[in-house]
Amino acid sequence: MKQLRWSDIQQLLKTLQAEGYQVLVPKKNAWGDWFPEEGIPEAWPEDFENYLFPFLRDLVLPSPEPVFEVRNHELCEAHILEFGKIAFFGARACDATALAYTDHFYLERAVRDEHYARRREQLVVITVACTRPCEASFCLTMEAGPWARRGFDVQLYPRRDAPWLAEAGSPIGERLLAPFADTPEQARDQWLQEVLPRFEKLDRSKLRYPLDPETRQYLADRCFACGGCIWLCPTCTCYNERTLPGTQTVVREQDACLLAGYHRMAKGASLRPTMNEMMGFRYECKLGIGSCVGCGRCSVTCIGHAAMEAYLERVR
Amino acid sequence: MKGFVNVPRASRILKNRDEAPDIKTYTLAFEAWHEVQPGQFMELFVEGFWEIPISVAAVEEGAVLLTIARVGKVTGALFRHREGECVGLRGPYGRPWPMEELRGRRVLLVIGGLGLAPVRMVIERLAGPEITLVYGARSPELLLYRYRYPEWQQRGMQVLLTVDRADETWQGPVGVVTTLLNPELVQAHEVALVAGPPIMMKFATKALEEMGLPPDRVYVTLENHMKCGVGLCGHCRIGDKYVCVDGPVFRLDEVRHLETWAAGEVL
Repeated sequence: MKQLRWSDIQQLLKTLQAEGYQVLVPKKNAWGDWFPEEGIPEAWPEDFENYLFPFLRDLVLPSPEPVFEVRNHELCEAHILEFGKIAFFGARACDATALAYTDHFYLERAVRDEHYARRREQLVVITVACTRPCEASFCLTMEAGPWARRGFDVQLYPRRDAPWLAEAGSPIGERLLAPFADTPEQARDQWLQEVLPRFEKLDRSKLRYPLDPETRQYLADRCFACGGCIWLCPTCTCYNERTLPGTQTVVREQDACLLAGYHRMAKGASLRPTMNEMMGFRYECKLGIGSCVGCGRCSVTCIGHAAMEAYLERVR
Repeated sequence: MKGFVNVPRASRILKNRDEAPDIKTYTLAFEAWHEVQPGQFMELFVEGFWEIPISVAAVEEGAVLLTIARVGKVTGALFRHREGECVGLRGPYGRPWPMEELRGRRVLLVIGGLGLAPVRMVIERLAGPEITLVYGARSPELLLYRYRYPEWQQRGMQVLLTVDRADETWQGPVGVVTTLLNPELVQAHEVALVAGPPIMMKFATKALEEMGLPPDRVYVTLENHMKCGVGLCGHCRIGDKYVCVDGPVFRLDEVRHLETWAAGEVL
């Protein structure tokens, strides 16, 4: 464990800049939403909860993304969409955990997706552990917050009136933190003791798939099938493929399992024709396979009270 | 498979053969034809559209044979292509039929409609007195590969056919494929392979179990929407399984507890 003053953190970010990284940090717009912007902050924005969108996901899985092109009737690989070297500062634990999930999904299963890999290699993730829960989150229950167990290069633990704690999560992180002062590991235990009581921890075994049929129907009845939860979910990575109209470029673009078209096959046949079945499919992924990280974005955006918060209310 | 960048290879249509109304078998140039195992599938791309999964019905030197029904946009566009024109191909993908386990055993094939395509390679390799094909289609003209039956029968394979609706040419049994099954026939076999529309598979697997063949000796091939073919796009997932990489061939006991493993009326 290391400890860093704010000036040390600025120094760390400058080091990354000098190495050619674009340093992205949280910046609030006029309407109070947080976006990543290039720069080095003067101070840590105390009112920052989380980025509006799961930007880490979008940096590794942009949508739409060109995959191949037809040129003179030949099939050619599209240029892999790259953003260059990015140091993403202020990522929250939930999003870093989600990144670890998508890393596994895209790099370590049947295939290693080269598009994903190329962008991931150029990404440095600096998480800042949360000291208070944000709206609708349940990250402690999902073991994805308030601090990250995986998915980061450097993790910072903010402290009032004391240097922040820092740990490395990768060889890059080790290298970045090497110049700074050591501090005993117990410092983090103290930090956890102070912070964790502010977070709700539900019995994880209660959050499981299959849902009881009544809850499943309750959620299905309230879903408007807008897809909002899916665009905002850091672990939603399902995609569709098509030729962009008016072009010869085949792209993959994010797809949403709460939309009927996702399940539709040739001739209009559907494997899951009802909202109840689609809702089951989604919850099976989030709770059965266990991709949910408890970030709460789905609940914040849901217009129908059908997202995780609605489910948790029934579990509580 | 490392370094995957889902790009199909251009493939020339060497031949297309009418099998039935709106069903053709395309012979498509494919260099790695010898890598294809029975039950695997290819992703087929048609310019201006997207990719669709198609089972490999047979291989020959330098080519794969895909039997395709005109049911959607991509197949509609494909049917407008002529011999000599190009499409895109990527594959082969998926878990094949368990050929080692089938060799030398008494195998019952319970097949409906287009389901004969994904088992045709099994038949071409194993056809003999130990194999029985029980095959049903909606009408006599929809029975696939009728020109192959004489050779299969010559090799000793029993071919039992039925159709849902007879016409004036039809002399055989009429009814769904399960009407041809009986305990004596089923129990005379050690393993069954089931392929066809989901609704047919549901009834056929149920009948096999009731007639004495346990689920760990029944294999099915699922035809879920396999968009990417490599376990990434999510569409074909059932439970924690991705049909494109964990299947499409499954032992029945691996999937039958999963929701919608064979739901919906497809094709």
